[in-house]
Amino acid sequence: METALKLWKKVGMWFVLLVLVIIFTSISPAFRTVGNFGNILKQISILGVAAVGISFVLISGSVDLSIGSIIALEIVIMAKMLQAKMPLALVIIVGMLVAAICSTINGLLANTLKIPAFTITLATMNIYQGTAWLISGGKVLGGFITSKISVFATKYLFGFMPLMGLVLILSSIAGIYILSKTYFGRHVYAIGGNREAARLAGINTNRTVVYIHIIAGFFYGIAGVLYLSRTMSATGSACANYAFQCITAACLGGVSTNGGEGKASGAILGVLVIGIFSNGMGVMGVNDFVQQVIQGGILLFALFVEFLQKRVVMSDKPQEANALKASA
Amino acid sequence: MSEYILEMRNITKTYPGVKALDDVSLSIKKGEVHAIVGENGAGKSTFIKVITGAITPDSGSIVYKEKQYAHFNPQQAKHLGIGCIYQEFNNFPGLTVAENILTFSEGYKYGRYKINYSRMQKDATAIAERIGVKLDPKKLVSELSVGMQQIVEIARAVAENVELLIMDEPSAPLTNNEIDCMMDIVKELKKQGTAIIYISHRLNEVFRISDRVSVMMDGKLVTTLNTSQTNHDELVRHMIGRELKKTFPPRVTPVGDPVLKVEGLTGNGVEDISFTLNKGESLGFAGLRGCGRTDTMQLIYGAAHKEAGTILLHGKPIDMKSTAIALDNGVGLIPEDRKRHGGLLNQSIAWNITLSSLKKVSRGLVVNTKKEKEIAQTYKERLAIKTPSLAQSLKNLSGGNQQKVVVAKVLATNADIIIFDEPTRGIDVKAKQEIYDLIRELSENGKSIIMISSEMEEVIGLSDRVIVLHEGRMAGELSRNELSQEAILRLASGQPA
Repeated sequence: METALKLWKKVGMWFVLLVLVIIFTSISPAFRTVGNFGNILKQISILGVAAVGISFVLISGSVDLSIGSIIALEIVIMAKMLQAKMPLALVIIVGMLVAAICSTINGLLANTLKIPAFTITLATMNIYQGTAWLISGGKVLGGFITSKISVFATKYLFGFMPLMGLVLILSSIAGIYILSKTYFGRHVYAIGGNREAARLAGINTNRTVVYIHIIAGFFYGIAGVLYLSRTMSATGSACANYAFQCITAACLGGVSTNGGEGKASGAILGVLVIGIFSNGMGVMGVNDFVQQVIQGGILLFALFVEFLQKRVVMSDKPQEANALKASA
Repeated sequence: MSEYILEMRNITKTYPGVKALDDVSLSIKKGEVHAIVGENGAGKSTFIKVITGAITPDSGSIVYKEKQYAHFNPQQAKHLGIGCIYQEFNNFPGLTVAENILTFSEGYKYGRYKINYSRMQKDATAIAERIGVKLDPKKLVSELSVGMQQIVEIARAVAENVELLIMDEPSAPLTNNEIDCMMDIVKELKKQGTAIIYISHRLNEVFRISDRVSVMMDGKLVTTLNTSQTNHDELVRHMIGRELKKTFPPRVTPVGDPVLKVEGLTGNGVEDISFTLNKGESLGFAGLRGCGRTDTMQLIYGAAHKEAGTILLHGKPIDMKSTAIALDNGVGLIPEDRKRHGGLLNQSIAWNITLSSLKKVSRGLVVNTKKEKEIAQTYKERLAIKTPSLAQSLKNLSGGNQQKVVVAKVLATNADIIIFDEPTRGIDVKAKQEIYDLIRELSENGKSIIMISSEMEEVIGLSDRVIVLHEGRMAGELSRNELSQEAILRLASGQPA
């Protein structure tokens, strides 16, 4: 039992992914086309890049409910600029900055107010989304169909890889590298594991938290650019469910919402599972609501397995169990 | 009628790879105070858990009040009048004293829907009086001192009519005054016929309070002795299975020039603290809990902000705005609360050891894992950290080894002023000795040490000089030859020297 659970922790979600792919490939001819592969990549790259960003926040023991609103505000501003025919490079830079600034504001508020990020980002979520609606005038912004920003979704490499898929891969590598190889990454885990212990170990925790949000914000910014590239339109309600989607994906991939544990690669794996699942269900014509129920079920199952792992660990190793009790 | 309230017979409990309890037979007499001592990992906690029903033994039986049981479950144990006060408190800080004491008494004694608070408060006061203390039943538990919180826990057990009370390291977080108060309560309970199992690392408490003492080692019961017929050395010999050498190594090299000068330090609850620390000196800080020792060190280490005063390192004023600045200037701190502030329990040993010196083990921004392992290995050997591997999570180590990892983390920064805050709290005798040797070795090698400790023996044995604080102010300074328990206590309680 214990070995099975340990194995599951390592490869469980890869296994689920494999099973999903095998099932969909064997049942649905529409699923196994090259075109659909490109589709899946497009569907997951936006969420994937956003999930890389939120991994930093989650691993540091915080949370960000405003991620969807940040992206909405970003793309509304970018859409306005594109409508005004401003140069693409400038539009992208401004968009990324908007996302980074919004995210940084979350971090600064969390540092100053010393209350849980859950409530802080609940407030900023409304502020950012409201601002996005105000700027867009409550309308769907479009009319920049000729803009080159569509290149991420329309240009394919080697005939099957949309450019945004490449962006996802590069973002993932960057995120994984920063978190697992640099000492800044160590600091993120230390803060998530125990913020006071991290501070007393000489880590400038406030500053690190700000950096975490700046980096996360840049990833949100990239996700926004990809989103606009794909939809070529923007509204205040775009990406409204992103926070929950990203957090679901991260949890599936083993990123603890308590902080200090998990990997960016796990979050991306979670996004892959969700993406392939909903694509496969979609091409098979399964009802959206049924999909939602199953998606929740998968998450619950993953959490249940994690609970079992913890329980096995607790009952078999007395010392460890004591330490857990003492730290609780 | 049997003279025993509880007889544990041939209790064995095996975990994969460890025999946590090996055929332990131990009996508790009615109305006695029975101390259990032993190093960490000796099996004391597992043994208690069998009594409280938290775990089920593999074999053995329990006789409680002349009735035989194979094992208990927690509800049963509680129902039979077995109570336990754990090291970590299980109180409700947001509720009042009366609520904490009586909310868990049986039934709907204080009204089914609306609680009759005035009656509850009266009862709580009565219970407190029964154990000889004064408690304000309306006060929130979060407003009480640690010692008073402990007393509330005891009062709760009394309210539940316990006949056998287990106290697991009850004195660990308490100051000397609070310990005295707790001892009085234990005596009072004993007088009323309650049997008490008292677990402690502090042998002087064992001698002060217990009738009998049992020694455990490696899951086995070594011996049970009448306290009046044994002595400190004999107990220690049983506990570690060897003769204890001289506890406090003497100083060999003289102290050098001043390295740290603190002038008029104010803020974070302390006022006008001034002192000098010399190179290679070990300076003790004594005082009652809450007197501002830890708060002073937080200011020096940049973990709290000062309002006034200066900190001079090697004659140069430094603004300790953050812990990072302190470490950059060679000031390191080993915090009091190992589990909450010292280390990251879920991370590996190597990870913990290098946490404060990551810049040194990194090339550019990237951590050099090879160098990290080398450094961790060096400290593992130097401090004799017992672990199968450096990749082991910190939480899997014993308290003493965890503490060594925290110490290694600070040593790895190459700090030359090292502040130890209660360095031996909750660790076993052997590990304590190793920490003492290390502190002496460090100061002999030119490191300057500040040590806060509530254990008088430690302060007196290891310090070249002691500064005593009282209510956030300097109460006095004692040189090596003025040091005595009485002198420290006099200053600590606010009397002139």
